[in-house]
Parts: sequence; C-alpha cells; structure tokens
Amino acid sequence: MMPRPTRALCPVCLAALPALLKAEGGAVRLERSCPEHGNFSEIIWEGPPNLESWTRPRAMPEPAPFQTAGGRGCPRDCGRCPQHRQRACTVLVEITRRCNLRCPVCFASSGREETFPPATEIFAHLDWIRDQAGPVVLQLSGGEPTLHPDLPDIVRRARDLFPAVQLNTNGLLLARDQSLAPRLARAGLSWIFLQFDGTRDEIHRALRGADLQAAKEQAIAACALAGLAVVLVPTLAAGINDDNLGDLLDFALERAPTVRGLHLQPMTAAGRNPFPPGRRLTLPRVLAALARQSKGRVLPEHASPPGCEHERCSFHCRYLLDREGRLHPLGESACCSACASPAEAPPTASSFYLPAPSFPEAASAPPDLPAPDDAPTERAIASVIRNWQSAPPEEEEGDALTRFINSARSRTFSITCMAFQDAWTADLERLQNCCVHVFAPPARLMPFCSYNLTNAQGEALHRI
Amino acid sequence: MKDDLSEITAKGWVCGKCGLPLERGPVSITYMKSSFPVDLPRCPCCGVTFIPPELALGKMREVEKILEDK
Repeated sequence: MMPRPTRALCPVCLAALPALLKAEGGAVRLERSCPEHGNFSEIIWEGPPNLESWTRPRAMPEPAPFQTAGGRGCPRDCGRCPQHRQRACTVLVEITRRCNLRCPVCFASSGREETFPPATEIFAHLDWIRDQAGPVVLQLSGGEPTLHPDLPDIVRRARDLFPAVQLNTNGLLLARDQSLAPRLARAGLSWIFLQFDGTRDEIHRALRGADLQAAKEQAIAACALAGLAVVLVPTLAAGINDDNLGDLLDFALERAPTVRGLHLQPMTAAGRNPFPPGRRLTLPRVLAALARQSKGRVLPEHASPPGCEHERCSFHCRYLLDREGRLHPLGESACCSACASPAEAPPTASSFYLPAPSFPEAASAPPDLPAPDDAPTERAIASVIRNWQSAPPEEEEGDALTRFINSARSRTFSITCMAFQDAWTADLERLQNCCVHVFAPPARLMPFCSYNLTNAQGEALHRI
Repeated sequence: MKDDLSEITAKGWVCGKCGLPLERGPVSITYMKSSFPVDLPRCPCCGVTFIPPELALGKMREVEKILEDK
C-alpha cells in the first residue's frame, strides 16, 4: 500500500534518510529530505504494470556470510554487512581496469591503465569467491576483459569452480582476432554478454564514441562459428536508442539461437555517465516501448517480476521460438510440435502431481517430493544457465515432454531488463536484497549498485 | 529407466477404485497453461493415471522448472 516507507540516499552527500514511495498521477516517486541539501523526489515507476501488483512471493534464502562488521550503516558498511538479506546468485569480478574504448558513458570509469593483474592473483580471488559465495554464476568483467592476455586460463580456472562463466565484453577483440572465440569456447566459457547498444552507428557513436556496428556483427559471427551463445546487452538512454528496441529485437531474433536474448540496462547516473536524472527509463517505460516497437509481439503482460533480486529491480519475458522465428510466451502453450489440437485432446490429468495412488501395489508411502520452491538463488542460477548458455542441437525425437525439454534448451529467447540504481533512485530495501554482487578486492562482496554508487559530483562511495 | 514413457508398463497395476486393470492410453498432462499429450497407464473407467516417481521427479520436474522460471 502507498505510501510505503523505505530508506533512500541524499544524492549530494549520500546520507541514508527515511524515505517514502508515493503514488502520484500514475507514477511512483521516491521522496526524502536531507537536512543539509533539501528535498529530493525521483520517479522510479510508471505503470502499467501497477507497482502494487508487481510482486512475487518468495522463500528467503539462508543469510549470507558477511565480511564487514557494520557500525556506519547501510550502504557505507557494504561488503557485505550483517544487514544484507540475500546471498549472491552472480558475482562479477573485474580482471582489468584497462579498456580499448573510451566511452562517453561508463559506470566503471574504465581507462587506459597499462598493467594487468597477474593470473595467479585472479585465481586467488576466484578461490575466495567460491569459498564465500558458493557455486554462483561468475561474470568476468572490466575494463575490457578480453584484453587480459591470460583470459582463456582465467576462464578455465573459473569453470573448474563455478557452474557457469559469463564474459562481459564490447566484442572488439572477438571481431578482430577470430581465434579468440574458439579458444574461449574450448576453455569452457558459458556465454558472452555483448555490449550492443543498437543497430545504428549513430547510437554507438553517441554512447561509445566510435562506429562499432560492423565490429559487433563480426563478433557475433565469430561466436556463432565457435558455438558460443551471445546475449545482447544494450545500455538504454532516452533520446538516443530508446526508439531502437524493435530493430534490436529483430536483429537478435535473426541471429538466434546464437543470440539467446536481449538484456536491457537503462542508464543510471553513475561513474562518468552524463545522464540528466530527469530522463529516466523506468521498467514500465521500457515495457511500453517494447510493446509499441515490437508491434505487439512483446507485451507488458508477458513480463514477470524476478524471484531472486528485489522485485523493483528487473523484469523478464521468456519465449519459445517456433520454426519461423515467431515468439510464443513460455508457459502460455506447449511448443507447437508437442501440442494436440483441441479436437484430438485426450483426457486431462489436471496436475503433474496426482492424489496419492490407491493401487494395491502402492501400499508404501509416496516418496518425499522436493520442496515445491527451491531457494531463490539456486533457482535463479539454474534459470539463467538454461536461458543463456549455448544451445545444443535440438533432438526431434521422443515423447512430448522430452521434445519440450529439448526445445526449451535450444529455442528459448529471453528479454530481460535490469534497473540499476544510482544516488537518486537507491533504495536501501533493494540494496539489502541484492543478489548481483561485485568482488571488491581484497576480500569483500558488494551489491553491484552499491559498488558503483557515485554522488551528484561523480565521487564514488566504494569504487577506488 | 521409467522416465522413458514407452518403458512405463500398465502390467500388474489395478485401479483401487474401479478394480480394473490399467491400460496404456492417451493422457494430457497440463501445467501452467501448457499441455503435453503422452501415453501412460490409466484406468479405462475413471481415468486415474499412474505416474511413477522416476517420471514425476525426473522429466516432469524438469518441465516444471522450465515453465516456472527464475
């Protein structure tokens, strides 16, 4: 119910303040007042879907181990402190600060530093992450991680420790060095998160300072040859590429199953992002733009709130692609080849789990069924691996269940959107329930949005 | 392996309610708006269907997870 109390930050001094989520004219605002710097009000939601209905019951996981003792309060104690309520489902590690682009926008403020941390140091970090966070999805990031000369060895070591390894890259080296994608595939890389802001060079120029369309397409082609799955990751900026979502979707679908999804990231005011906070793309605004530009193929009702991170942090839509490349919302109907026509429909078993059988031979107690709801972190890890890892060739044979499982492995397509927080939108309830963590050397795990938080003057709270 | 549906036999199973031997026949399994037509042992009278634990905990659980999502 609105207004809903929470805690937020003063964008100027980053002091934690009592705050209210208030509904106003179809929008929801995050409002607070800093005794020193005045009142701040930021739109964080513009329905539909209505924020009141955008919720999902979930089992809380066991508390995560924490590395800092607390005392200064959230988010200054970050890394993680006893107030943190969520384990990590994914941990990001920056293996270099060096980058081969100098983007006008970069929350990581990456640059041209000349040295790379030695692989042995990164191996020690990976061991520590595995010990503290468990079998999470590991993201290798930067800077530009493909610049690290030992990347295949780092991937190999990471795959020995984690169930999936994601590479966050701009793709320029994958395009230039055609041997890199197969080497990474052989090392066990699970999928590529490819920075891909749009289908027009003017978009790349505005956000990355260079014409990159040809290189991006070469990178995807190299991944296709190597059997590496790709997720396209546009940074969305109002007035720059929020009109390009329909073309991005078509571009991605034409390259499925190599391209397994779109992961949209509306720009936040962090790092060196010259983002005026008044022009914010909220999750509902992105959904509305997708519906308009996809000509109804992607609809707000296809979107679900997350089961792992906080519900106000993301949405996801999952589809099955038919043979013609059309999208069918997953869960709405079985895959076409598995469906019976209504006229042929046989008697229906109304649930997967039938009542306890009354067969004479089944006198013993039914076996213990697993809990209906796995811990959210385990479920999220299994889900992203299913959605994003390289698609094996589809097997056509078997019963309807087998055919569905096979088609879900190779013909699913996801559209996801992550609303990262900045000093204007940071909500401590969301931060404390974050499951996307960054490894902060020498020995801390920090929510992504806390690690990248900068104040209105661009000064970082945690990032060095 | 009993999550191979063709291996699941009706032989020896009797419906506790109707007293009739089960017969393999078409059944539609539905979950979250998706339906899957399969052949399983079922009672020819009341339609009660036998699903062995290996199938419920194997293939069916995998389908459930795919549909339920993260």
